[in-house]
Amino acid sequence: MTNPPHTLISNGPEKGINLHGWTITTCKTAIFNCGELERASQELAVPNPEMLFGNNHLTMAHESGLKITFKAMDALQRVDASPNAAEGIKVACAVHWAKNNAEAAEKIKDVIKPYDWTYTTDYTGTVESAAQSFQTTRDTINIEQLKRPDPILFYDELVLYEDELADNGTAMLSLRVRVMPTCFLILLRFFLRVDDVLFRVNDTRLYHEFGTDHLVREYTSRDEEYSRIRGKLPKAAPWDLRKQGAEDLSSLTDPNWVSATMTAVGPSAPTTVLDSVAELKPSLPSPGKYLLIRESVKVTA
Amino acid sequence: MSWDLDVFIERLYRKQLLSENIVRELCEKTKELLVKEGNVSQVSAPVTLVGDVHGQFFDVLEIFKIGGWAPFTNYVFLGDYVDRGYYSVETITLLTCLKLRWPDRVTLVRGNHESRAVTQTYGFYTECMRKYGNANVWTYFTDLFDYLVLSVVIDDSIFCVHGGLSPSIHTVDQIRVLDRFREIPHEGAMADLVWSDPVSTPTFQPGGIGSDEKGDFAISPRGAGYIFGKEVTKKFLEVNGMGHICRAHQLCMEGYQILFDDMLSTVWSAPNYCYRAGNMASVLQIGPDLQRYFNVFGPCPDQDRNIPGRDRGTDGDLTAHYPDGNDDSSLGVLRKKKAPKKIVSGSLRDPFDVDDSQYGGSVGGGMTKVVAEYFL
Repeated sequence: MTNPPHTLISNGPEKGINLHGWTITTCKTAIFNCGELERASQELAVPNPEMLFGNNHLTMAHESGLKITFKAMDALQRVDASPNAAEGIKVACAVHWAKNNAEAAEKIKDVIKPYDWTYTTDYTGTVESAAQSFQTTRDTINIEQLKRPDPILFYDELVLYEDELADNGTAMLSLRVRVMPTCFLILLRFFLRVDDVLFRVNDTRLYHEFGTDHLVREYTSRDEEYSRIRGKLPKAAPWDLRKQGAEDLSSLTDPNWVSATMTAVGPSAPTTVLDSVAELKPSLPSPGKYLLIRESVKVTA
Repeated sequence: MSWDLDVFIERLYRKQLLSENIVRELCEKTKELLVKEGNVSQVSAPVTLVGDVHGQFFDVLEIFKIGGWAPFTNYVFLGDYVDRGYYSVETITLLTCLKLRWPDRVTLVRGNHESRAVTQTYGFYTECMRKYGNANVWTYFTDLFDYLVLSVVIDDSIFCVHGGLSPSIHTVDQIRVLDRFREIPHEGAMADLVWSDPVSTPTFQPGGIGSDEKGDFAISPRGAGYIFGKEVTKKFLEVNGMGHICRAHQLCMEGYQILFDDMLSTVWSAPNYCYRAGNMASVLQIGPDLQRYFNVFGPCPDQDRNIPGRDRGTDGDLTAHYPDGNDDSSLGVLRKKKAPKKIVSGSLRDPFDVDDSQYGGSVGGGMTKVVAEYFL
């Protein structure tokens, strides 16, 4: 197979590729500085996450006018800041903590204004071009096509935001893109681990096969109990003397491992199917959840 | 190998590990030393404060190049020596050796990562297993962590701690009477000191008591842990007759942050944190008259990082930087030669993670890269 004509873009922090009428670019820079953080906090209803890569973005544009970007600030606008937002998830030691801090808690009535401190977002990208919109579809992502070891003409990955939840876990929104001669795939992944409580993976995949007239967007949201995923960690060999019951839990910090394990232990088919991302609402954690939304948008003029 | 701390320190400056038995003895001796220290160490200026370093060993060496080498510079490290970076073992072994060699010139404060629970998830345990083949070294160090001091007071004027203040601590004397020789508990004064955060403009739940004061303690929306504001800080300083609080624990793009009309500052010493944040780092240099200067630095230059597989263990460039004595001028010359470092940021992988493939680690280079690119 010969590679289609394409040009690579490299312009400071921006990298990208031009091919088949598409321009896909990524921009990777440092976290927001003091001044940028101050402006961000005025725009957002939630406190800034610890690492806010507010200048990072991924942009895909087609000559038909379709333009979609992925940006941290837009994703954070979708974090729940309603009064009951903090009811969803508490850190593992919260009950214990409240009990043992009863004396202090009598004096300290202040609780920070509730917000979803897990930074969960159902962001699926920002459609910048007003003319096009995503519609419910029967089109699917061609997994077999993606499994072929075709040459990768352009690959990149970047983080939009990340918070360590004060070392109670991780919330991270990241992007990956790969462009092959016949198609491209973009994966926006929100990954959440709350230690000893739960895992959550919200994935948005954008897929296009060159020569077709549509771009598929698939959104999945999965929750799973922490213990079920932890139970799948490789067990130490019997002769391996590990002291004090200590265990290597570092795989639990790897979104790819957790996501694959979640697929293995969770339901094999979606438990909820929605027609449109517009139907999404903030929901309480529900282990075993597998929500799917599949839409597509026309890419011809 | 006979017991010679100077030899150990020289080896560690070259990023060579010490044997398991030496680490055991090192931790035992350091515990004997620390058990005699109170919960609150008294330190005299001039002194240099170092914030979180998180196993970023080459950046720790950079700190010594910039701030001076022990024992010529008096150092207070504010905790979080391990986890996240790829060289937690080298980092904590070096700092422990320096502490034992010059106890009056090196002070190690406990951070929230100096804990058995936290290090099992965030990398130190995994690194010990990979580099030593068993968990013994992890056990020696986490036992040692129970002996680290909780705070430092500089010339009766500057209070230093890893995290922040606690609603159950009003005076420094209350810290002195805590039983610190234990794992960091989930709650209580000891937990607060290593975990809590200052917040400049807290958004309190409307109607809550104190919601108009903007500066009292508040409970985090996570359901555990405190944040504190300006009023609490001011009161603590007044009660204890001090002028400033210096703490670490929170990443900031500029490497430091000054809050509450200069009553409190955060010092952060891990540049390009997690090899992707792109942030600057700093050390806080406190002069003889207690004047404060944040010496800001970026990630150490690429040529100062040895990439195993090319010149593992030799690292000739590093040797050139290792001083024979207190020759600051030669260090200055060496520093000037360095090319500006291009910060690699926003990437999911450490640009130097090829190192881990040496140990068969799961975050390694070549193969993982190919798989990562063919993500589904």
